Amino acid sequence: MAATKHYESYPEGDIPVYLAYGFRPAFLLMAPYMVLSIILWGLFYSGYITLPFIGDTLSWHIYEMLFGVGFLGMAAFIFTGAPELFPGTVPIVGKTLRNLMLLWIVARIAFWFMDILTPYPAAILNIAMYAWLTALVAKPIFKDPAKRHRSVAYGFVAVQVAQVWFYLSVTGWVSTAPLAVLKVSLALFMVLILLAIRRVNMEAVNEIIELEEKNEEVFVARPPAYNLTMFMILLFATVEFFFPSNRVLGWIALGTASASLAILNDFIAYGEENILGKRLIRALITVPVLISIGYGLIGYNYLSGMHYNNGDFIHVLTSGAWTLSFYLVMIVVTTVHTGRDISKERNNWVCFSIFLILLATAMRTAVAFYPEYSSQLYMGSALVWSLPFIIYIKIYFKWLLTPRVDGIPG
Amino acid sequence: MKSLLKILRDFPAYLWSGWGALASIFLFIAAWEIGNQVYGDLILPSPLETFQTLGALFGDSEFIENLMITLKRAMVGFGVSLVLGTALGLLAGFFVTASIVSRPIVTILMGMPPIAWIVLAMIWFGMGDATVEFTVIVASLPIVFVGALQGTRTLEDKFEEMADIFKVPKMMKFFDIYLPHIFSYVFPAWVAALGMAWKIVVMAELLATSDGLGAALAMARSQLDTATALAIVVAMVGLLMVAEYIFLEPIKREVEKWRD
Repeated sequence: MAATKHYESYPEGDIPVYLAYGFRPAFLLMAPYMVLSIILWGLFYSGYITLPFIGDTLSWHIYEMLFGVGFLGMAAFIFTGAPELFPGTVPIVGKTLRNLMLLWIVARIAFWFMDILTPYPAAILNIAMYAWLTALVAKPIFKDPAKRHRSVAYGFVAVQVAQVWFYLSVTGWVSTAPLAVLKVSLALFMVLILLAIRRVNMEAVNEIIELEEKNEEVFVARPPAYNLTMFMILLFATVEFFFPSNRVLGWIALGTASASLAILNDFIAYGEENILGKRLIRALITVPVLISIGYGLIGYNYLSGMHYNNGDFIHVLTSGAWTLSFYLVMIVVTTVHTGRDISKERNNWVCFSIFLILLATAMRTAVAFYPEYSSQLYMGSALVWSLPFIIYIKIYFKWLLTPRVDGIPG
Repeated sequence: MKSLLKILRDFPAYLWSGWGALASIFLFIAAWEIGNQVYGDLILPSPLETFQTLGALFGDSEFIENLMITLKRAMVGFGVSLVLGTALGLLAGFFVTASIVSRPIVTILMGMPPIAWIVLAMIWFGMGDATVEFTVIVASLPIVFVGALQGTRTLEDKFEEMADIFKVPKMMKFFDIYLPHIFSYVFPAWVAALGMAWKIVVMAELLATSDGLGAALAMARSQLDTATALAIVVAMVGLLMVAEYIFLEPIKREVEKWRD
């Protein structure tokens, strides 16, 4: 299997299974944390509970979903991907991994209790955590003489810069509103997602094609459409930051929506065989489709005179595209890197989970059109959104907590 | 027939490949929007206003009438160029002497600016259909002619030799060897000529007639109705793009693929 080549440089020593590879602790923490945060947020936003210790709750929701969860996703992606993208890299496992995850937990506590502890502990811990991750990642990326995947490292640095900026604004050192910084951060995370899914698409699709042994043609996820989409997203974020309600944003958003659909060309134009019918591939292409729907709605809103709340449409990007890409990475990585065959693992629960993510997204977006039901839709979408992660815990936690089935370390 | 089916089968994928292009068009429209915000509605109406005006124009019978007149003129001019240009080009291609004689003439025709032809045509034919159609023909015929000429001149003798060795019937030789090769040159020339015809027809109308899109454009200019003028421009560009990229480009790709 293609994904086993990079386990050649595995470190010696006795390493507990849950720390045997980067994705294991990251996903063990991520799934319950997503469930916990979203349910608390749903209860709070629908008015059932108060969260007095948190301070600015909207910033908490956005920041934790982006930077809190995003960190685990980035760590899982790069710790699992680096040894594969750069053969010979020693994977980050064991003690380093444990300490990084502990730092993540402490940083979460610091952020949750920011109102009591002041923003400084949260700032120091979270910035240190991202700096450490970036340092660990930078080594293999910059050592590579072919300079491949440098964009990923730059993406990490950009996210870190946004985070520093966020804390400067929270502590009052700069005058930018924290929410404006978080909007820019969302764009940077979307760019990171595109950088990641291009690599995941390539690996996952080829893995499926290779294992089915029907077709020899290699699937290539060509960069131009991804790059164009990233450029458009960044352009939108920049213009939005400087000219928040300018109508030009509508056209840029529609351009972003179009560019994102262009990502599907590689799938549509792949050889004679139609690969769009495969379930996992259908799920993978749903991510750019959701990005397109999200920006399409935002564009429509700007051009039609802003009759709706853009915040509701942004959730097609966050509850939809962002979540689905994380979920798919979780499923693909957990399956492939615990030594299982992705083309044979056909789990109807995964299909159901993807449907739930789409349903939650539709419910959350529907708030724009049916504000009279907003409280029910907020709570309902939060609950539906959390289910896929509960299903993940139920099915995949035992895989994360047991060694690889093929006996390879990792 | 097989090619036609293949074009139809590939059409959805081809159409989907247009999203990237659409993204850059939106980027262009965004720049236009900025232009509107900087210079104001009189100089450059906003894209949204222009599209709304365009929508209103398509509901206006006078505009549709003008559009039809322009389309008719363009089609007559293009049709004559297509038939005459292809026929003459093929003839010139098959006979080296004719090719040597015709080339300088075509060079002169192509080098002459269309605006000069319009002036001459106005003197010769007065204000009306003939002037416009004549200008279209003289501007687009040479393009078709050169395409057809090149298509025949580049036919490779070795294929003919091979066909003769295998005693390939004449009809088969024509349809399977000559035609695909020539067509792969002629067809792109037709597409280019159509683009030329469409541009020239409006220019000629603007100067030499009182009806058609060109005349409507002149009217909008004299009334300082920038939104209508821009809407007409968008309609012209849009129609050409639809004709070229929805109908002709898929065929062009298919016929040009043969050359690889």
